[in-house]
Amino acid sequence: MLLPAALERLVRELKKLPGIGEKSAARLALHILTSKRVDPVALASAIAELRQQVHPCPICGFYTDQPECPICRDPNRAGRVLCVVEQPRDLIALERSGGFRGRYHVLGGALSPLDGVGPDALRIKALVARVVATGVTETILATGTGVGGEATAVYVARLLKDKNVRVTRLAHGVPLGSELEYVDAATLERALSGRREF
Amino acid sequence: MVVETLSVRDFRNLRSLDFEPSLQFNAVYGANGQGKTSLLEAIHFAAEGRSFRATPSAGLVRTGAKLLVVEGRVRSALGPLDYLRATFSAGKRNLELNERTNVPIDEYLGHIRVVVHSPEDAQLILGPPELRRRFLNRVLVLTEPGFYRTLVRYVRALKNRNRCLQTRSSRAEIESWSEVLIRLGSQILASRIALVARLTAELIPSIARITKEALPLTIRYHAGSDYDGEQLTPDEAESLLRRQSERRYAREVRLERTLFGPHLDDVHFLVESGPARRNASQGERRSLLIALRLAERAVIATRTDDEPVFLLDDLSSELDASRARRVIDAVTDLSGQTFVTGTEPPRSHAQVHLFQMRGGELTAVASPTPPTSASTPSPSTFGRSSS
Repeated sequence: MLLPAALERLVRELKKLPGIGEKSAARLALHILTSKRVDPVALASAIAELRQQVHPCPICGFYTDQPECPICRDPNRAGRVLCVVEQPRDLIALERSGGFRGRYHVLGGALSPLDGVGPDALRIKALVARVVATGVTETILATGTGVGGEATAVYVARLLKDKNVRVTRLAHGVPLGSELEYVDAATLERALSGRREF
Repeated sequence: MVVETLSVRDFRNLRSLDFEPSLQFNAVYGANGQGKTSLLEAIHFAAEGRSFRATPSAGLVRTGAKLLVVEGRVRSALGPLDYLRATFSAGKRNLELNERTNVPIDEYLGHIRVVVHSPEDAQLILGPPELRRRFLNRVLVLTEPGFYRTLVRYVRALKNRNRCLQTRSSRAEIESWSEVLIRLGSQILASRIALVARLTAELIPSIARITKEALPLTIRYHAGSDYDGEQLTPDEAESLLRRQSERRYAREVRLERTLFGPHLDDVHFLVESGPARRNASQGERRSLLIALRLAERAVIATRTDDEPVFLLDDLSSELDASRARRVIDAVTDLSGQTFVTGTEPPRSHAQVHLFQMRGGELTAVASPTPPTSASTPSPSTFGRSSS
């Protein structure tokens, strides 16, 4: 291409980001080059400082710029109820719902042997140690509904079986506002077996 | 369900063809190699994005062309009109539904359901178990919401579990995949067994329709030596798989692959004296296969409350004249839309709409006894050869 070397370099870096292809990268780079609203120095330092300052919380695995994250430090949170999620973004989604006042444990992914992800690549040992050490009474498995999330839930549940802790799984069911006739058999079956007193 | 219009571009030897079939019985005749089977394949391609024959889609594009297009307007019993368009070009398929492009296959399927009988059906009896599993899976995908997704999840879990076995992962890790596989597999197993029972029940009346000789025939689902052919609830299917997984674990570790689950099952077609593969005559096998397709048709019609489109390819090569006539009679008695191909026009029927295929061009032929039904289009000329 005929791009100046500096522009070319930025395009090459931007292309490494998820969802960014050649065209988007070029558009973003040109935008950074010309836009009055973008401060390139501020952008560059924000990116550079991100990894210096933000690290995983040693307790739960969520991101923080403190020694421990605000959720782990919050004394008003129920420390004996632990919600296990795959990714920080799952934690953010649950927090947005506002329905949970316990604490979290971020595994950092789900089992996926095809991608070389086994139990040791996830924060599973840390979870078990945390449950034992802090006297957790309930562990809510909120891993995803993909096959990897399911396998991870089964794996964790079995490890916690003799650890004197209640293990629950996030309920699966009929999405709000949907018609029963369009819900697939597997979801309906789960919704039925997980039904509650009304 | 009916195909109201069909347009085909550069599909096999069909260069350009526009077709308004009868909503009932269509007979397409012509010499071999003129494009009769291609027309049925094109209908199948519009319905499912692939041919019913074992041809990679790239081989469907007409030699010398780059892009194949099959599009059509279809209507289901409840009334909704859908516009389907399936294309293939440069190794890539695109399915369009009501002008929305790149529709995932599981959303696309089911807007027009077809049942095909072709000479290649012989493989269902003679070929490998995979073909019979695929036969059941396809009917279930078309009739059970969510079955497609369960299958996809099953395959993904299976591949992961096999990888665990290959990389000698811990037993705890392998077993968590077993659990996922058992849950998904038991749904597939229970659905398949229920389907086989329904097909078996439909098979007897289907056979009686097409042959005078009594042909005692059963289909049995085979899920390992410890399954006796009984109906299973999902819970029972789950405990069957759990038993099998426990018993076969040691061998799985040795062989580094999963040795339980519906991906290994088979369907046995049995005549009185034994497996149809060995003990049925060629004529009996052909009757069996047509009866099986009639049964499939009946099951889909009952489960979806809608008659599927029936495609019968090249009956005359399969059956002697009198048997073929019985089949045609049986099929014309059915409601629903049918397409039959053959080298000769079938003996005249009031309801038959005749089309002649010659060199990839289709011409409507006035029937000796003109149709009286008001709901069918009057015969006219289609295709580029219209003069």
